[in-house]
Amino acid sequence: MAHDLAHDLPHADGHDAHHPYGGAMRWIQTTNHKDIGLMYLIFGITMLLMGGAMILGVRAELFRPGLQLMQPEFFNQLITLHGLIMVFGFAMPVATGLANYMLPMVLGAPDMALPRLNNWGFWILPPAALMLVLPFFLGLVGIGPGAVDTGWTMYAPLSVQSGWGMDFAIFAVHMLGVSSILGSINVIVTILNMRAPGMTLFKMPLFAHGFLVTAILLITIMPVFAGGVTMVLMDRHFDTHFFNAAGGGDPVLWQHIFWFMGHPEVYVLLLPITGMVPHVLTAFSRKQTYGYRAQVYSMWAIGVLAMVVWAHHMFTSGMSTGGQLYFMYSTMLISLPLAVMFFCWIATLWRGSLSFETPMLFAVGFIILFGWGGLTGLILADAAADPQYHNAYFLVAHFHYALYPTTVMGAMAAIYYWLPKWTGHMLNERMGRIHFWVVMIGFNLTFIPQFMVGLAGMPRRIPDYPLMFTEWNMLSTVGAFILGASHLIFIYNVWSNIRGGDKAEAKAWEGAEGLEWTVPSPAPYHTFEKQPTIE
Amino acid sequence: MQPNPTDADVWAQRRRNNVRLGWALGAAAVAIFLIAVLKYRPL
Repeated sequence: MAHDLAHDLPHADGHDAHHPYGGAMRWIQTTNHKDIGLMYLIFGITMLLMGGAMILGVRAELFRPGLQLMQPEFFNQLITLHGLIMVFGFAMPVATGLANYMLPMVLGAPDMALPRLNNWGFWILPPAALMLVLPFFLGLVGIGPGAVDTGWTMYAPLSVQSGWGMDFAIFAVHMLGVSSILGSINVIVTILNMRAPGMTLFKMPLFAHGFLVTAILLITIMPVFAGGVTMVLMDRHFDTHFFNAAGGGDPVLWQHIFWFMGHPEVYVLLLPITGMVPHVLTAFSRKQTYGYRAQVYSMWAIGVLAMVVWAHHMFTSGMSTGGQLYFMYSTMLISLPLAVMFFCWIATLWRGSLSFETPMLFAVGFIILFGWGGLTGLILADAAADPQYHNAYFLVAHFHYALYPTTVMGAMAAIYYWLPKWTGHMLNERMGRIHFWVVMIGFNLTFIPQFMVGLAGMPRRIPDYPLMFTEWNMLSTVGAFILGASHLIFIYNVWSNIRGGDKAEAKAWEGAEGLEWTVPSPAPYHTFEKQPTIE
Repeated sequence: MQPNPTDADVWAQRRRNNVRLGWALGAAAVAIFLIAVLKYRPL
């Protein structure tokens, strides 16, 4: 069954069914999923560099004890912006970019279901990011108090009392949230309504399953967070008392609202990668993915459990013993579906015909490092042990072991895996391997010392520390700069891949499977001129 | 019975379904936002 889609694309009542505009208007007005996906990816990587540069400033300050380079107020702005930029400016847009670029291709769809909404969703992002960082740059030239400086958690009452950088952050978060919700709506509608004929939900690639759970999570949590920051805004300027105990409010309410978003957010960042990694493992072990249904059920189990465990971030905020026990056990319960997924990934590799091209290196690196992140999370989930580690550098190391391997290494695995499909060129494997090993060395050198100083009692979010922590902090700073340099190698790799390289076949990797590998490399502007059918 | 995708009407119907589902999800998001704000409104 083949159908010419050129004449009745879902959005093709005119302008871009055949040819894109030229120049800037192509990018401003485009409704093509590849164009929009590419813009998301470029935006996300740009924000990664900005957020990374900020944290390098922090690490430079922490190289030695005492105040070296900056005042504590500026330090606070840097760590806050680093967190907000990396989560909302880098990780989520890059995931949305991958969804935009690849979902229609793996589903056999002509485009995303709601292309104009897609365009709108992206173009909200740049002004939102500008709004987030503008007070920072104004502060640098002496205008205003600088950027939001509350930490990315924006805890009340500090966020209610902070300078007007907080107002900018509130509006930025609102806009980023709207963008994220629009993207999620598009993902859900595309997956449910636009699959190729014959592709039932249980024939759908795991990549799509990961994004389906993610999108549903986002639509559930982001409006609550939007409600929370609206309350902060009201408390700041309209004399309400949501978070003011003297007026009948409760500052701990903010923590509940924030972590109701903040904890599922971890899985929002993780689940797309858990859907993507099996594609890479399958391709480079040259066998079917192990436990397809088990992985799908695990994703849904994680999605449900993610919604009911948020207060494990609040063990030290004051909580009844019953509450602590509930949140401890429910948190630990998440390790079960995650363990199922780990088992399936390893079983996919087991007795496979393995080869370690760059995407595979990053996928295996993700599994190992994220495993460490998960295991150290179990320590923090223990309500009895948590007060020893909470707000210490152990926590910082833990969540970087959870988030960096997923959002960065997982995204790198995906980008390197599909790059031949995007550019039509094979990667220079030598440079890819160099990138991977520099990441591994830099990342572990940065964060293993942070486990050590955290266990020894060094609190996070301070620009100064006792002399006893000096050596580990020096190592961590050296590691951070190596890690920062690794991203320049990544940019070089992508740039040189765009400019040239060995020609990629339609099926660029010998063991790759999926509809995206049935079209030429690079994929045509409209991927499926003839709609594929799944037998 | 599977719809016949050679029929442009099927795509038009699909497009309508997409828009309807999009609006429904958007309405759900707005409802969650309103519930979050109103549930915790000050005394």
